Order: sequence, then C-alpha cells, then structure tokens
Amino acid sequence: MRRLFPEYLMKLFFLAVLPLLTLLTLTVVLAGNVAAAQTIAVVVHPDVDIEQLNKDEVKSIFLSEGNSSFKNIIVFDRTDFALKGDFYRHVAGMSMNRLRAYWAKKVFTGRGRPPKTVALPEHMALMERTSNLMTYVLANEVPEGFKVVYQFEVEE
Amino acid sequence: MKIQITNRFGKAGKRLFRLVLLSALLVMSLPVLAMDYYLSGFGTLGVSCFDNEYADFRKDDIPKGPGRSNDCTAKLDSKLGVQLDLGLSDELEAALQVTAIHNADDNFIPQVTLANLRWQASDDLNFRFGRMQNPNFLYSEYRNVSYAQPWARPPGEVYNVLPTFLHDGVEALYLYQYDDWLLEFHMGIAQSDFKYPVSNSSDKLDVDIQTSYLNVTARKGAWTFKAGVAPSRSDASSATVDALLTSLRAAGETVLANDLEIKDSPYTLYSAGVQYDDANWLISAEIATRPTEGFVYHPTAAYLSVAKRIGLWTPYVTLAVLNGTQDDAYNTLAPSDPLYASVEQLLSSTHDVERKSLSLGVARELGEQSTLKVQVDFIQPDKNSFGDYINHHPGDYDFADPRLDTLFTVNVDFVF
Repeated sequence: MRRLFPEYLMKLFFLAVLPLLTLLTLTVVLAGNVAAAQTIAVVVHPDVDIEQLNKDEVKSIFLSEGNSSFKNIIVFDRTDFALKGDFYRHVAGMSMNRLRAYWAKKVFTGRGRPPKTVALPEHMALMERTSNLMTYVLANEVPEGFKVVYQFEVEE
Repeated sequence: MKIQITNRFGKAGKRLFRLVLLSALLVMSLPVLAMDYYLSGFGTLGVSCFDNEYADFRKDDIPKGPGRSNDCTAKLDSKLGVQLDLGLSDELEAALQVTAIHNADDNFIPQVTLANLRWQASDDLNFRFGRMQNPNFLYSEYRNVSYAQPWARPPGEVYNVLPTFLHDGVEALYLYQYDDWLLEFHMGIAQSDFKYPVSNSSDKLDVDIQTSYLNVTARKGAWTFKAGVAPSRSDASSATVDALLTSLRAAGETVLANDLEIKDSPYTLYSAGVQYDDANWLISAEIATRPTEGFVYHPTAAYLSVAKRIGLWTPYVTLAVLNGTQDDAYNTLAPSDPLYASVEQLLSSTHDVERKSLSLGVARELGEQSTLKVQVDFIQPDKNSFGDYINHHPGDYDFADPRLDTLFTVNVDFVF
C-alpha cells in the first residue's frame, strides 16, 4: 500500500515536530498562569549590627564569598524550593542547578559548606535564638522585632 | 603524609589498604566525634566513542581509552565519589574523599582522593596536612567533579601538562581582601608517585615527584585570575628506559645516558588562567608550560572555552592546543649505531605529541543536582605526531599525516 507521507517525514513529525509543539503549548499555558508579584525580605536578628545591605553584599554573605566584614553572620536557607529558587535567582543570578555547582566547588576543595537548610517551624525557632542570624522570608512572614536589611519583588 | 606499605601488595593493593586504613581511622573516630559532619558526593555516568581504530584517546593516566581498545566505553568519564567532612572543633576539620574512577591500574578500585586535616589558624589563614588534589589549574582541585565544570572533562592538552593529580603534603591558604578584590595565596610542598602510560608504547613510567607550589588567585565580581609556579624535582623510569640507559653506559655513551636519565631532575610548571563567570557567560582560558630535563618533553599548552547560559541550556565551544619541544636530551648517536633507533623511539614517544582540538558541546540542567552533557571533540594531531594518544597500533597509526579524529561523549553529571 502506498504511504501518504514518506517514512522520513513521519519520523521527523513524531520525533521532532510533535515534541516541540507539545513543549511550546505547555510553555504558553504555563506562562499564562503568571500571578501577582510577591516580596522577599532578607532579615537579621535584632542584635545584628546591620541596617541596610545592597544586592552584592547579600550575595556575598549567602555565598560565603570571603568578605571579612560579614564573617560572623550565620545564614540559613529555606526548604521552600520555590522561595529559595527566587531568592538565589535574584541575588546571585543562579539557578538551583548552578547554585549546587557553586557549592560543589567549595565543598570538594575544602573551602566551605552551603548554609543549613531548615523547614519553616525550625526556621522560626532558629531565628529567635540565633543572635547573629540572617535569612530570607516572605515579606508577610517577618518576625516581630527582626530587621529587614534588603527586599525585592519577584513574580509569583 | 604518605603511608608506606610493603610492595608485595602492588599499587592497587596499596591503594585499597590505604583506603581501608583511613576509613577505619575515621569511622573509629565517629563515636568520639559525634558532632558536626557533612556528607556529600559526586559522580558521572556516561559513554564515549572514539573513531580512531589505531590509537586510544588518552585521559589523564588511564592506560586504556576509547578507540583502538574499544570503539566505545563507559569507563572514560564514569565515576562516583563520596566525601565526609568532620568538624573536630571550631578550628579543626578532617576530610576524607573516596572516588571510584577508572585509574592507572585499569580498574575502578576506589582511591583515597582527599584525606586531610584542615586547621583554621585565623579567619584568613588555613593549613592543610595530608592528601590533596594538585591545585595548579583553575579546575584541578575538583577535576573529578564534572558537575561543577562546563565540559565533559577539562581540556587534556593543558590539564595533562603536569600529570600529577593527587599528592601528599602540607599546604597553606591565605586570604587577603584588597578593596573589591579577594586574593588567595595557595602554597605548599608535596610528594606524589604514579604510573604514566607512554605514547606509542605499552611502556608505563614510574614517576616520583617532589613538588612545591605557589598559586595566586584574584577574584572580583565575575572575574577570576590565577597564576602559579611549581618548582619540582622528579624521578621517571621504566624497565625499558632503564635497560636502554644501561646499554648506553655499557657502550660508553655515558653523557647521552646522563642527559636522558630523569633522576632527581628539576622542572618547573608555570601556569596562568582567567575566568569570567556570570549569569549569562562562562569563559575560561588557561596556558601552561613545563621546561624540563631528561628524555621527557617540554609541553606548552593553552585553551579558550566559551559557554553561553540560555535558560536550562549551556552550549559551549573550546579550542585547545598542545605543543611539545625538546629541551635537554638529543640523540647524538650516529644513525648506524645499534642503539640509535631505541633512543629515537624513546624521544619520539615522549616528544611527538602535538595536537589541536575543537570541542563543541551542550549542557542541559536536569533538575537541581544533575546535568546532561553532550560533547563532540574534533582532534587533529599535527603532522609527525602521536597526538598524545596511547596504545598506538604499530605500523597502522599514520604518524606522518594523522587524520582528524572525533570523540563523541554523552554524560550525566550529578552531585548529592
């Protein structure tokens, strides 16, 4: 029986065109779900003697880049993957994958370890009792008395 | 701190013994030190195919590669490493890293790739004692952690200029902040011994190196500059080389034998590199040269690599070149001399390795902790060159006019 389309055209359609169309459709659908902006705040314990930081300073502290002015600060990461992703994408221009590569260099050359990652309840308790702590939270989660030293908006 | 073990176990046995001993020491310490620890790991699963049927692609000191031995192999880049960091006190930390990787003994027996104590003497000064990775190049301290590199593997042209990957010794790291620049001074003394396969020969050199090094790294924003110097001394010999030197001395060619011999011979590695790493670009370039004495060659190599980050994808291109020159030992025998051909072969195997390569690849992030890399290396040995390959087929490898070879690699790198 004569085929309507040559075999190579069928292969091209099923192996390349169809997956690409599916990907494109998903991208359009997902892009349509963009919601309002939310604010992420970098906060410090009230005892920390810092009032304001810029983006580079926040990056330097969270990536432990060696700036001796902030060496006594302890930072914590969040288990909230989306929040952590938004935070590092904004302050360091890094995806989570690239962030892992950054820390892999440090860990496997003995130059540092990534911040501890903690879930929200533990996070709150740590914030209360760690006097040299710095972390990031949604703006509406800032504990009473804590200082916001840097904040930024991201698309939710 | 080298642990001496009796020779009857062989190299692999020694490695295994050291691994067991060091692991046991750390495990025994655990109950006492039940405290701050950090466990992490890295690995690669991959396959590589090389289209030269008359020679193997060389990676580091591995005696077999894809090509003549097997068209394709999963052994070239596949590996698994685990590292345990133990905080012993605020100032003292111990690290043990064990890696199962295709090694010089042609097996995957895990090797101790890090085993050191780190003493944080002050905020800016850190001392290390034990086994460390050679730190001469931008990526050499984590050369096995492919996940943290832009390529399937660092360009061999530069990264094999000094084929010392691990060493035992003591080193210091000093950090100094100057304005926006962070300077790192990394200096040490160390010893290493290893086997290194000779090009165009089944011979392996037993190499023993005593090295010292100073590397200075300057970082500012996305920029990193690194320069290093490593004055060293080495012994390098094999049964074939020893037999040739004995024959030369018996024939009265003592001067030539002494010129060829590598025994407590000095060499110095000079290296320099620059890297630009931001959200959009990752650009690296390095150059290295190693003037030397004896029958081994004086390599000079460089590469330029440009990677563009586009969402989850990072396409990259790398150009590399390796040149070898003869510094010290020349074949002064007459062509009619019965030992002429043996000397010529020894010098040719270690000197005629020039090549150029173009690598094209793409990395694709797979979630938070793994990356897929597809890389094609086009390698062109120079005319009259063995191309720094190994296991050449005698007679069939076209030494006078080597063809363009292609190495194709698909790897998944991961960390945990």
